[in-house]
Amino acid sequence: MIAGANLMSLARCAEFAATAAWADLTPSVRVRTRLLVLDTLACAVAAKRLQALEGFTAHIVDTASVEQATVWAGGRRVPLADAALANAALAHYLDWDDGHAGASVHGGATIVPVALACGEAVGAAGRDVLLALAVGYAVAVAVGRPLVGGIERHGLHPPAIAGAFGATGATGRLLGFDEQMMRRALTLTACLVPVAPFEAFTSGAEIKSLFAGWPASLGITAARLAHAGLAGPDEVLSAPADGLGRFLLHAPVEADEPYITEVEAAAFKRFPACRALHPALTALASLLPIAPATVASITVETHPFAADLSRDADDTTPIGATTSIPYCLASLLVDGDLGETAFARPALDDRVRRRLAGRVQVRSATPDALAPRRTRVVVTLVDGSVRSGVADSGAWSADQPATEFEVRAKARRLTGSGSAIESRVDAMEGAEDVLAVVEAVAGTMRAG
Amino acid sequence: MRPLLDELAEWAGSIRYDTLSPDVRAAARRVLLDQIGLTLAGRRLYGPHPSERLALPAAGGATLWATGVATDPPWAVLINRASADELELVAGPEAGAAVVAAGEMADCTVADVIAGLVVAAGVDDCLRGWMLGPLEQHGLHPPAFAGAAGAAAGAAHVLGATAVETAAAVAGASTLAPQSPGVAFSRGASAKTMYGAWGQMIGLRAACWSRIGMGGSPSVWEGPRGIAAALSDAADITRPTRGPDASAIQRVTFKPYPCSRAGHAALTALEALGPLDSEAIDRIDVATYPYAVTVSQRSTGTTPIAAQVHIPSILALAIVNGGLEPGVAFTPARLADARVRRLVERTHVTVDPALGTGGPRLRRARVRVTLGDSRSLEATREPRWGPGDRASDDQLRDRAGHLVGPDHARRLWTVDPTCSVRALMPLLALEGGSLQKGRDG
Repeated sequence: MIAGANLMSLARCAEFAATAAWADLTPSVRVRTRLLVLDTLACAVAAKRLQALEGFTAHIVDTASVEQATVWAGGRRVPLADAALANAALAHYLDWDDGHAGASVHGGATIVPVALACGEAVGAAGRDVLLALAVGYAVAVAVGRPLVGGIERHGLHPPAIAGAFGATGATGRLLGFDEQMMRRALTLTACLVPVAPFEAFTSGAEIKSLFAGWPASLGITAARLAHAGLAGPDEVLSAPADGLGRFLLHAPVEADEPYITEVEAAAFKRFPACRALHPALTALASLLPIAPATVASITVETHPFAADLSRDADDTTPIGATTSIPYCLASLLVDGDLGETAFARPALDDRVRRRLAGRVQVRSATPDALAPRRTRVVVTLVDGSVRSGVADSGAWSADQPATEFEVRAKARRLTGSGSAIESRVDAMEGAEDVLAVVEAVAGTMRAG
Repeated sequence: MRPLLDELAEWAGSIRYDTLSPDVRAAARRVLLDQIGLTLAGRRLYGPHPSERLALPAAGGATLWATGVATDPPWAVLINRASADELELVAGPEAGAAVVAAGEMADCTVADVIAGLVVAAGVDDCLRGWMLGPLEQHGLHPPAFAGAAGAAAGAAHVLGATAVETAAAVAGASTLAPQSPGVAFSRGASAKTMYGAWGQMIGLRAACWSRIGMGGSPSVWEGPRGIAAALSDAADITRPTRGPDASAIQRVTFKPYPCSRAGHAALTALEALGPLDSEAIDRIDVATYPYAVTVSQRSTGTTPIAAQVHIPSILALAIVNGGLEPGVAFTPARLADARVRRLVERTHVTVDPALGTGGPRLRRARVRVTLGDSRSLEATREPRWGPGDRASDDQLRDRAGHLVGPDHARRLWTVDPTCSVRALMPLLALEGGSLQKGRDG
């Protein structure tokens, strides 16, 4: 039984979310928030280029009864929560969107679509949307950090659970909630967070692509239901016998305050794959170039979480493949990098890639206390020579974060030279609304 | 081993109204009409549920039963189910609203919906029964947590989904189902009124999405990172203890009292003692099965919703008011009644494990009332309308007549199975909306 004091108080989150001000955002936080928007939109564009989720997006559009916010793929307007659902699903599809090491949230993929959709619907100024994004991100991290250990222990997906709180915080912010209304919304969210078992991820089920979209939709809907009069109990996390913490909290963790600067800890992704695989990818990348035909075998010794995920991955599906070390390493070798095309059907069916993946052995290494994710990749070539690489963490992780230059370079590569996304995002602080950003991403997707 | 949900989906695909036994059809019809009637009753007695404010008109969508307004199907499901919740009388699988909405979307008949409800009950019974213990142990609300799966199965069936689509739908719904901590109930928060509704809404969405390729993993329950592993540390959690079957719907027991089943056996025992003068009561001792005591003790009993799961409050209100009238039994004013507060303080609830033996649905309570003159009255009973005393069509129809009016009850309870669901909708709408507010606080 875990004491309630260890959990982030939703009342405290509500106070924070309702009272944070633009002036609280330092210049570096403002830059980071804009980068988060840029990266999220770029990831969505990359997924759209693979024609990801076309049927689902079409369904959202075809069943829309009102026009409130824009679905980026296609530019049609649909109900608010559904726009966020579709856009967040696309942003998260390749698992290339940001994460947060401490709380394991995909803040960008969940909260950026929420902030943009709500901002569009209410005609919010650009800086209000950026502030809402930073607020939501902070709330998601504050709530998620004490819970992440327990969530992972249960084999559930932390971002799908914690992200909903961030979505609620951002929505409430843009809908002008006071502290009391924000608390009603957050407590209601806590009652409705999804189960989100990791099985969906490793099995490659399409529903996994909604692990950012569903919390986005849930957050908006919960906020609106709270505004209509519903609320959860104040003790929803902390009630010893039947609060959410009873199920999710694994061990006592000191809860921390929500920090508006939390977005600075957003860790962008160098590779489109589950972050657990990134040390292996980074270790192999350090050995390139290696001609695939010269490879006899590859042995990977990595941390247990990654090894177990990879073992259970169904790498015949786009989503499952993002958790498969053999498939991702093989793709890295064949393509010279791991990019979005690795998860398109032609690549997934590529025999050369598959044969190479079959020569990859993954072993679980005893975690090193000082470097718990240390991964060694040993490539044995057909001529008998051996090349070996070690990575203590993935590229662009918390201890070697991506620079602004690197994030912008990734975005430019993914969005293409003709896209106006970057310039419109850069201009958000002074923009009277976010329509220019929304039109830029929709236009980029239209152009293919 | 074949994925569990593939097996469930294959079973679901075998269900046809024409091949169901008359008893199964009758049982499913009973559940369906009762659930619809309770939505109408809830709307009539409590007025619009807050979620109704978010519904937008959508021609060709699905109908809000009480008002006749068409809206987006997921919202219709949410509102139709939530409208019934405060009554705390809904019984059976959390699927009626989803299956009816699917029936409206697919333009099929009441018979098809009945078959869908049989599917929903079978899947729900299989999965919820399997994980009931762990869910209760974790303080999660079983009907909400597991209900989405049944709703998805039923809705998919009505929509004509293939076995693959059905498995994907149930998996998707199970993946997104609400964790639904029981604290919403025990602390009496209005979020609790969303629990069944939210799961059913997810069920319908998952059923629709599965047909366009958006589905979950068939191994989501038993897989190494699946739901069963998340809930239980038991060594063998690879398979449910029993498979789905059409007779699950026959095992549904209806609720004669507008409160949590935790209090039903105690209420039935109390009724056996005859009318009681609250002022003459010195003490009330209740012994009942463990889970009932657990949920009762978790409740503060201080709000209408919390009181509905608090055995002392339930009994005290019944004694003071001569019974529990749906829609008016649990109000802030009645809870504040000094006579009720006095009795609550004098009521002691303890566990007697022997009263919970004999099967998961055999739950008894022993109530002993000690009077001021030292006499004591005692009775031990199973709950009314339980497995040994099932509610009849007439009893349910009479209740519907009492709650929504005789004309409405007649229209509902004489509906022909060959009637199209769309044709049924106009018959349900209440005239003039709600007639009274059930709460006076």
